[in-house]
Amino acid sequence: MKEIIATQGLVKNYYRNHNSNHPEARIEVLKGLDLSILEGEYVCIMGSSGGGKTTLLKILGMMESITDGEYYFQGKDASKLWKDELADIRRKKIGFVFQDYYLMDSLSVEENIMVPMILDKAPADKMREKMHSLTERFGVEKLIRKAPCELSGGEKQRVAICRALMNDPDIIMADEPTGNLDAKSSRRLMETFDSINQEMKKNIILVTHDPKIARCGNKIFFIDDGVIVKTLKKKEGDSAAFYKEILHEMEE
Amino acid sequence: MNTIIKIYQKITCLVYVFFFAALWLPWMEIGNKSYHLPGYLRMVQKAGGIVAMTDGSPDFVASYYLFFIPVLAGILAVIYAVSLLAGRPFKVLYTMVRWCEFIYVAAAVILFPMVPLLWTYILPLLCLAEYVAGQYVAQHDEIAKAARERMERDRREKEERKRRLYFPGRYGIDFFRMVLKNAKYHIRNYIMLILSGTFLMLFLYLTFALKYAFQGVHTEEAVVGGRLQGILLEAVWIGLVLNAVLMALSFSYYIRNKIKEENALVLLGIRSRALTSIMVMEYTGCLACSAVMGILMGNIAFRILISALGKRLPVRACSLPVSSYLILIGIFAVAALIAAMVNGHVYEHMRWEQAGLLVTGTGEIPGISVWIGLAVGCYAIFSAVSQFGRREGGEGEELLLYFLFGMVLVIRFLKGVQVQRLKKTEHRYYRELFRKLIFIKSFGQNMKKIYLLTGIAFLVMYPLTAVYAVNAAVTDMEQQYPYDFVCRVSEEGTDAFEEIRDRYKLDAEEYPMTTVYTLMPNDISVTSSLKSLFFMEYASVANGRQVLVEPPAQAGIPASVYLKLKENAGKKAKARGPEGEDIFVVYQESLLTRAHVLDWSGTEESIFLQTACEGMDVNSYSAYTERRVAGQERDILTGVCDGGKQQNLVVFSDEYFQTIYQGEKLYLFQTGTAEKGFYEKVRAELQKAEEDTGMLHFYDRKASVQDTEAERYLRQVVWLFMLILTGLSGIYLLFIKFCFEMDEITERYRFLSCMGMREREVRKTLQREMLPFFLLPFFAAGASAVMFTGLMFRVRLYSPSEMGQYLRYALPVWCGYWLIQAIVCLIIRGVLHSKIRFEQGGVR
Repeated sequence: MKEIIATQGLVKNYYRNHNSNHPEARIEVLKGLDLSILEGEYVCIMGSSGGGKTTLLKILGMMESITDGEYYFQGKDASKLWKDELADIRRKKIGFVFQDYYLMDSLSVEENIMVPMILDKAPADKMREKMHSLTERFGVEKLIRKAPCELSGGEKQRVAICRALMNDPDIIMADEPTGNLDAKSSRRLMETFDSINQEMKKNIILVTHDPKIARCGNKIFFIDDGVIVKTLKKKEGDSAAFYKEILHEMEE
Repeated sequence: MNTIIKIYQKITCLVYVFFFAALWLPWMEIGNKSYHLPGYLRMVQKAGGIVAMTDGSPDFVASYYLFFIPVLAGILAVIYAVSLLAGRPFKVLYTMVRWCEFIYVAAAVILFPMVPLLWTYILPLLCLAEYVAGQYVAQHDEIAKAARERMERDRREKEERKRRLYFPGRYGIDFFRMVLKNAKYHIRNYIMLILSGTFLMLFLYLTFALKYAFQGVHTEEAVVGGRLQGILLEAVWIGLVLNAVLMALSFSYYIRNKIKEENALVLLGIRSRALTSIMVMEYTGCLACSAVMGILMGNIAFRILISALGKRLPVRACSLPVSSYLILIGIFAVAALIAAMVNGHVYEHMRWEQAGLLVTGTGEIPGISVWIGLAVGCYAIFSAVSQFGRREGGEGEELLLYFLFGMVLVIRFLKGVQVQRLKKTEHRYYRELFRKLIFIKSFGQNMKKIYLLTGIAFLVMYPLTAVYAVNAAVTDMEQQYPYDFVCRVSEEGTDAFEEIRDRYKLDAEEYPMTTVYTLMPNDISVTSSLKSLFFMEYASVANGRQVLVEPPAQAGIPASVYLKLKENAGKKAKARGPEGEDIFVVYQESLLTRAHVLDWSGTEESIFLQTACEGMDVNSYSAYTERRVAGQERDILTGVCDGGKQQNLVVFSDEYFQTIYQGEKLYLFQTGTAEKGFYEKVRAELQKAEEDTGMLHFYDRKASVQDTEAERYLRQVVWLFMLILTGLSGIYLLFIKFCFEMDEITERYRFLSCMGMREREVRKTLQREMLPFFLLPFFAAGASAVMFTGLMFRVRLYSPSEMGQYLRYALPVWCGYWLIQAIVCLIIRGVLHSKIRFEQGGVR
């Protein structure tokens, strides 16, 4: 299978008070991280808090720059891409789902879903058609006229998924999508991700703490202190063993 | 209860009997006789009716018919009282009495100063008291029961609250540390609040200090007459309103930001009383800081101003008395309270919204109302401009307010229609969505800021610049008085003047003249009427007319004298003079005021006037005859006239002048370089002669120059200060809008960038979002200011050189204001953009 994301020696540092000269002002978040994601994979990133999961996702989503190392997106070196090219990739190739949904209160649900296509200056009828097909698929078609503040957490997250899929991206990146949801809504959401991966053949990169969520993926990266400490791969039809492995790794 | 009703019925009867009896009291004085109401009505009947008696004056006619209403009310009231005593009250009569009262009060308010029966205002007041008492008596039981229930409910709720919110002990030191740390984190909010308060206090301090410093400069009459006070009062009102608005705006933003952290604290279990205390402490703390900073900065500004004024006027810096400090702190506190009250609803609204009890409206784009608004707005603009442009009308503040109201409606229409059209075409709507998002989603809120910015820009560009630029551009005062003394002497007073002339060997130019009376100035000004009402000057607001004891008198001269005066002034005559009974008018007005049509009820082309004839009645409308104005100009031939009362020149043809001439003379002379005190001696003599004979009237250069120059200079300095302050307010308004909304804007654009909006698009969209706050006020206020300036040139009859002189001062102000606005917009855009930009991809 084709490799769509690859990193080599990925380093990310933050600097206190924007002081990059002083060594004590430096916070090392990612310390030489190598990973590879193939086409169609459902990848979960797990690890302890402060381990660098969200930072990695932001880097993979081109929302953060890297301090050192190499990052290849669909074979292209991200460091050699212009800002506009990066924006185009974010808009066309990647769909984001955030823990806090990030729905714009000033827009209605349908407008929120259509944001990526609006930014893409797509024709209105095409946008509407796509929006209707997605909202029907994810069961939010009755909510499109409402304001985001009128929705429940699960509904908001499904709306966010519709938005992420609007531009038919190659990859869906989700940062703790079930973080604010109850068990039932979480389960439903994971089924949605499953169907996106299986039926729509999209890559999914998901950051989570929850082993029950992580077991849906077929590859898991465990990150600790800025490096990948373990990579687990799911074998066909061996879901229970995979879950045990995850739990075991988490305990370790 | 029965006893109360019986007592109440007796009181009601007494009240109405008193009303009826009171109508027979001699309350009105005409000439030396007093009349009671029926007597007055009989007297009018004897005189052949009110129209004949008052020469058709509409005010008197209307007020006369008004008197019938209380008579009717009194009769009805007495019948009602009798029926009440008889135990069978006619309730319909009672209702009719009330209606009479209503009509009477409404009409009397309109014609208030023309109603000699002032005490009859007791009538509606007593009726009101009786009504309240009646309602109370009738509903006493219900009110008492409801009050008891309410008290009991409150008591129970209080106990429940106490039980549920029981808090063992006090908050520890860590709590206060947390509050302090939080305050430090949100320092921007407090700075904004403190800044707006400081502005207000600085302005108040300066007003009081200037007033105090200037008290000794003017002549006693000028101070008492209130011209100086008037200048300062105008400044106070504009400044107070403007600063109160800004303060309210800062406070509303402060609350919006505060409510977010309040929610977090509520979730953590903080008591609501503690939260309220924190807010009150923060607010009062900010206000206290503002007060101290405002006084300190005001003191510095005052000293700078005084050092500037001290070059021309005998003023010196002085400290304010304690009483003044108390008053200005009182005014400051009132403004702060009003701001707090205005924003109380914002706080409540936000809390309801946060509690989920209120759903934020998504679409508030106005619908058909913009078209109605357009019609009303166009009418308001048209009528304000057409009235303003008439020399018969006025440059009143109310016309400017009326115009601004119209402009607001038109701007609302333009923006409303733009957004409506956007919503009609789906494709355009989505293309423009992010650029116009703030107007699509919160139209009203953002338009309010545009209205305010437009209003402020208009204030800066027209009224404030006009006062400043005209005062700065006005010709040197000395030049506006070509003669030291201008005397108007009737035939009987000629001997008295000649005696003075001979005694002091005055080289006076002697010209024939006749006093020309014009109709009373028709000062139809709502604001001045309200001002006069406020100061209880009833006589000056009759039907909006300024009733003068003596109507304005101008100097009527023959054409030959006009040509001679022109020659003396070294100027070329514009016309050879009028023919027949036509007239030519020379408006000797300063640039500061409009060259107002002499007869304010007439038109520019024809006016009503009468010359001084024996037995004339200046108050009789029919005594004034219509004359065609053959020509007009604004020039200074004898001396400048600032009040429009005495010194304008009405030029008649020589032939016609001979027919109306009655021996009156105009003496113009200089005192030359005689010994010291000579000028004052002559002045004292003329003053004495004026008081003794009453046949001689004069005005002199020194007194006029001293007063008008002091006023002009004060006006120039104070209004320049107002101009700067208002300009700063506009900038501050932009600043607080974007500063307080910075987090929301940054978050929105960062999100859009994450979703793939290109950086150039982000910059463009942000610019398009900000642009209406600059461009709309720029075009609306700019066009209006240019138009009003043109109208001002017209009504003040400015010459091209005077226009140039005006623009020399006005253009730098206009350009400066917009340049600073543009720079501030660019800075804000730059700051916002730098905050939005984030490190995307690549290697850093």
